[in-house]
Order: sequence, then C-alpha cells, then structure tokens
Amino acid sequence: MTPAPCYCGKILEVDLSRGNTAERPLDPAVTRKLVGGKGLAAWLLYKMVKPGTDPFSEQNVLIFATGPLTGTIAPSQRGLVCAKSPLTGTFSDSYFGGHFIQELKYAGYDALVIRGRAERLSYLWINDGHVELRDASGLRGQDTTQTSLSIKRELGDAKVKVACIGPAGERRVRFALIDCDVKRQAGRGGLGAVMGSKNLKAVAVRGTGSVGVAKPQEFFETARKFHRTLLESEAVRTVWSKYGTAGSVEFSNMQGFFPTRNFQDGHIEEGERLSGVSQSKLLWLRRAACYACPIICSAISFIRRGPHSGTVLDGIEYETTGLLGANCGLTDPEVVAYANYLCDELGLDTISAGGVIGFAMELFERGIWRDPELEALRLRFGNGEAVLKLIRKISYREGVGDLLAEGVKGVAERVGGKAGDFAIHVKGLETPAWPPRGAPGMGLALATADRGGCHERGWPIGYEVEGIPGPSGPVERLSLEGKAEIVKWEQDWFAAVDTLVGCDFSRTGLMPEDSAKLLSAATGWEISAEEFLKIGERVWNLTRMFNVREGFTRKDDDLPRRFKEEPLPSGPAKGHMISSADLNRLLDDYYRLRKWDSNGIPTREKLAELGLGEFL
Amino acid sequence: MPVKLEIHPEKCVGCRTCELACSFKKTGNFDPHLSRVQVAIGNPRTIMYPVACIQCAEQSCVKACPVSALRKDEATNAVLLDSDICTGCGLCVKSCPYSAISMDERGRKPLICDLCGGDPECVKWCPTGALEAKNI
Repeated sequence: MTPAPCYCGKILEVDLSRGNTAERPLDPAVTRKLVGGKGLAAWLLYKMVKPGTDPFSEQNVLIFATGPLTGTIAPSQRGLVCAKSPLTGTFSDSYFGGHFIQELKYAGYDALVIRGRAERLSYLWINDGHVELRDASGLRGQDTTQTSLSIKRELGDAKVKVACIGPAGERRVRFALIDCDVKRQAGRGGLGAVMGSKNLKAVAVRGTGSVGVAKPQEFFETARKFHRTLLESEAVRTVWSKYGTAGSVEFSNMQGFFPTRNFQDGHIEEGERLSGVSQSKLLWLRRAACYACPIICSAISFIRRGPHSGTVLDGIEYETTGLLGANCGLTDPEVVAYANYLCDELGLDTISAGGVIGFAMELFERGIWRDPELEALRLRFGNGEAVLKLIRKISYREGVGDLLAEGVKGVAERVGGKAGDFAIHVKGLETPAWPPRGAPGMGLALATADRGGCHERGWPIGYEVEGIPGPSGPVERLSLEGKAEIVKWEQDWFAAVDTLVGCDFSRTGLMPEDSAKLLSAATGWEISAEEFLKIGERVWNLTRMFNVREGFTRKDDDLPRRFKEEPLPSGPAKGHMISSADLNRLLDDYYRLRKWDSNGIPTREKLAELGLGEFL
Repeated sequence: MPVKLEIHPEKCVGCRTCELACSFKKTGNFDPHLSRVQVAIGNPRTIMYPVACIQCAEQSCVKACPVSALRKDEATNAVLLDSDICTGCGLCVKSCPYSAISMDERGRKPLICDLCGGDPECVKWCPTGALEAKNI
C-alpha cells in the first residue's frame, strides 16, 4: 500500500542534538484515517512526545505539516506547525497562510519533524532532498523580516521560503510566534518559543518538485468551481475581499464582543476607528492573498502620519484591533498598527501580547500589582506609548517584560492575591477577541478548544447571533439549548478542514461535501461529507487524548472568573454572563454528545468506534 | 484569434493561482516552477507582480535564438518554441528585457508563455483581473 499521489510519501525528521536527519515513509494507514495536516501532526505528536515532557526540553518536537491538498490549486490553503505548548502544556497547533508550507511539499516532504536542541543558534536549509544545518549566530537578534531577507541573501536565492523567529522566540517568550513567508504568522500557543528553545532561528526551504492528484481533470474542474463559489459568495464579495477580518470590528463592537479594557466590556467608544472602512482609508495600500486563495482577506498597510509614519505592515487584523487595540484601551489606528508591526517583527502573538498587557493595565489600575517600573510607564488603559514600550520589554525579557513574557497565567501566579480574578485565559492561552458573555455557545467553544482559549476550533457566534441555522435548526442567542450540538459540529468540521490544511474562512463558501469532493479527487478515495466530518471527530478525539494524557480533565474546561461572575455591562446582551451552573450544563450536554465520560475523557467505546483504539 | 497578455500589477494579490493553473495546463501536475507566469512577491508585499511574456514588439528572444527555435505565431500572437530544435543554450532567457522567460533546469528548455493557443488558462483563474487576454 502506497500513499495517494497527492502525498509525497515522506516525512523529514531532524534531530538537532545529534545533528542527523532521516527520511521516514509516510504510513498510508495513517493518511487514510487522519488524512494529513492536523491529523498527521497530532498523531506524530502523540507518538513522539511522552506525557509530562517539558515543552522547552529537547524531547518536545516541532512539526510542520502539509495536507493532501497543499501545493495544489485547491482554494485557500494554509500550513500548520504543532508542538506541546509552553503556554498551556496542551497539544498546540497554529496555522499560517503564505507560501512556506507549499515549498516544503515541493521539496518532497509531507511533514518536517524537528527534535533535540542545536548546540548553537542555527537554521535548517532544505534544498529539495538536501538538508543542512547552518550556523545562524550572525542572525541572532534580527527581526523576522531581516532574518528572512538575510537568509535569502546568504543562500543567493530569492525564491527560498523561510519560517523564522524574532528576538522574542530566541528568548523563549511563551507566546512567541513563527513568521512564515511572506509575513504570515503562526501566532498562537508560543510555538516560536519552542523553536527558540531548540536554538533554531529559521527553516529555509526551496523545493522544485511537483504535486499530482489521483483524478487530475476532475480535481482541476472541481477546484475551478469552488474558486468561483468563493469569489462570488456574498461574504467574500462584500466583506472578506474588501475589509478582511477587520470587517468584523463594527459587528463585534455593536454586539458586545469587542474585548475592551481587559475584557471588562464588549464595546469601546470610537471603536469604529479600527474598522475595515476606517483602515481602508487611513492605512491600506493594497489587498493581498494567501496561496491559491480567492478570499483575499489580507491588507498591506502603510502608516502615513505621526511618529511611526513610513512603517509598512500586514494588517491590522480583527484580532489585533481587539486585543492590542480595545483591550488596551486604544482606538488610534496608527498606534495599534505600529504595535502590530512591532509584534510581527519582534515575534510576538498579537492576541496574547494584547491580553497580557491589558491584564497588567488592570492589575496596575486596581493597585493589585505595584511596581515602580509600571508606575514609570504610567501603565493605564489608553496609554499607547506604554503598550509600545511593553512590547519591546516583553520581546527582550527586560524588567517587567520578563514576567509578562510568561503570559497571563504566569503573571497571575507570580503577582498572586486577587490577580487571578482578572486573568483572562483558558488553559493558559489568552482568549481571543470573541469573549462569550453574550453567546454561551462561544463560551463552551473556548472552554473545550484543544489548544486552550481559541476561536478557531469552533465559532458558534455565527449561529447564535447571525442566525445561521445549526445542525438541528436555528438557536436562541442567549439560551443554552442546542449549543453543545453546534460546538461539536463546528469542532468536527474545523478539525476536518484542518487535516487538508484548508483555511477556516473557506467555510464561508465551501461545505463539508465540497471539501470531501476535493479530497476524493485528490486521493482517489471516495469520501462522503459524513465521513469527512467523522475524520474531524477522530482528530478531535486524538488531540483530546493527548491532553487527557497530560492530566487535563473537566476541571480545565473552564472559563475565566470574569465571564462567569461579572455581568456584561453594555450592549444587546447587557447583564448576561455564563454562570458556573450554565457552564456545567453546557459541559454535560457536550460530553454526552461526544460520548465522553462526565469527567471529559473519551470513552473506550467512542475511541473504538472512531478506529482510534489500536492507534493509541 | 490573436491576443496579447496584459498585466495589471496593481490588481495582483500574490495568490500565485496563475502559476498553478499554468503548470497544470502544461504538465498535468501542480508545479509552479514550470509555470510560464511567475509572480514576483516582495517582503513586505508592497510589490506583487506577475511576470510573463507580453508579446512585446522587440522580440529579442526570437532574435537571440541561434537556431531559430523561437518564432512569432501570427494566428495567436504568441512566441512559440520548437523544442526539437532548441538546444537549451539559454540565450533567450538572458535576452528578455522583462525577465519573462525562465529555464526548466531539469528539461533544459526555456519556459515561455504560448498563450494556451489564444485562450490563456491563467487569465481564467486570476481572481482580480490582474491578468487579461486582450484581443488585438
């Protein structure tokens, strides 16, 4: 049995401690069950990382994974990187657009697995089948753009694609990102810090191979149809391709989701200054897209006035407007854009950075955390200069930045006292700009997401607020009814798409049966929509088992105190929260639907039904 | 009908779908390195520019070829390669003032847009109209 033609059939394993590399065959049985992308990465991580492994130890592995559709013309492809997270201790996968992962596949690999730790700062150079570990001491301290450009210059090839870390990753800031050509970030979960702990500054790839599919003409015509479906869809035409993710700012601010002053509120005055319409006038130069993507959600920005004029950046994405903007009390687009730029270049996840800075602001304002350095910064909500200074301090672990670099959970533990009451994270991952007090399904999604507080493993707000019917019909916004079912449906669907590796946003036009069609034509398998979702469920149970093995159970499927005890102060869901009783009811429903026990552990029967029994 | 490939770089979003469409049409696989159109993308992405033969008047490639393997096709307006004659010397690649010809290093043959016989596949896929086949 050989893998389907859309796979390379090879995994590249690099041991940085021993300095050796090996090519391992891709097991066709694994691809048939888990497809690729998230499924493949989760399986490799489960097999290779023993429970209790320190995420910064040589035993943690960093995995870059492609999917069966990567490198083809299937619409809206992304890549993923995966490891045990230093922020959460959970399974952690982070997705990125751009061109890096396709190059890895053209170089002949379905996945790249990196273990160990290099003796000195190094970068990995993969030139088709030739692999070399090169000295990167000259790159130490370089920002992400510099690093990418320096490596291309050194290798004398502008077509090389680079994934790299900035100064923050080198210093193991627990929410450091990996920058992937061109300026797309694997932001969440601190995988850049894992890369830094391996003394790995970058991975550079050049691949000149090709990717074939099982049924070429059928695949090509199906892809053509779906490109058109996306391009012509209402959401893409009127929002995504015009305003990208920033097109959500006005909706979010109006509906009470816009994280304001460390999530105290869901609305900020003058929030519209950060909207897509506002950014399109003030900042944007042109639209940009990821590989083979007709959604075109990115914008290239240019700061035209003020002290930071002349700066070019990708953004500002919705999450960044929320966390580095409103959550720090900022609505000035030029300041938020510059904060975004600094995070991208120094190598910080903007979501976690905004989360931890907003948290520090609240602790300081409430007098819970007293520190002369915070005093000197005048660390109050709305102080943009303080935000910019803190981003630098965190990235270089200077002064208070060294503590903030540990993330919200780490800061809460160290500051102690009442600090934990204001710590907004789930399992250690700072929550994104979709806080759940006005949407209980979203609360369940955040509480149960495999990598911690994340909106990209399920986004029930579309069903709860925008009125999209769930699998059993429409639901009431603030009711608990039907929410667990939506969360399960979303998680299975997201996880299935993540095995391809497709973009979340492609779900605005492509349903499970569409993805199944592409996958079938690429692999030659006959996959139904039902089976496709089953693959997602299988992967979801696998990542759950990784976390269970690390000791995560029901007690960790929790929400920050603020969301459970403080009623939302404004907006259409004013007065609402998700009480502990509500959350418990949602978890009961959810575990029952998932056939997990009441402690949130997948049952033997469920694992057997999913064909995972013999795998684990 | 003869056409001319017009490139509107200000509309390009750097998705490289054109490269995939072209390579599939020409090879049956997805292999952007064998695409006749290549998208130049800067870091940062202030520059995104599809580069392909625009059927220019100079025809320096045709003039540069020592064995007359390249000729302008009157029916389609494309510059066509006779790969049986071509020796893979690469003079056409060097001669093109637009860097629109690349070399397939494996096959040692130049890669130049043949307009797909007058109906270029890349144009059909471009999501923004950055590539246009104009009737002439």
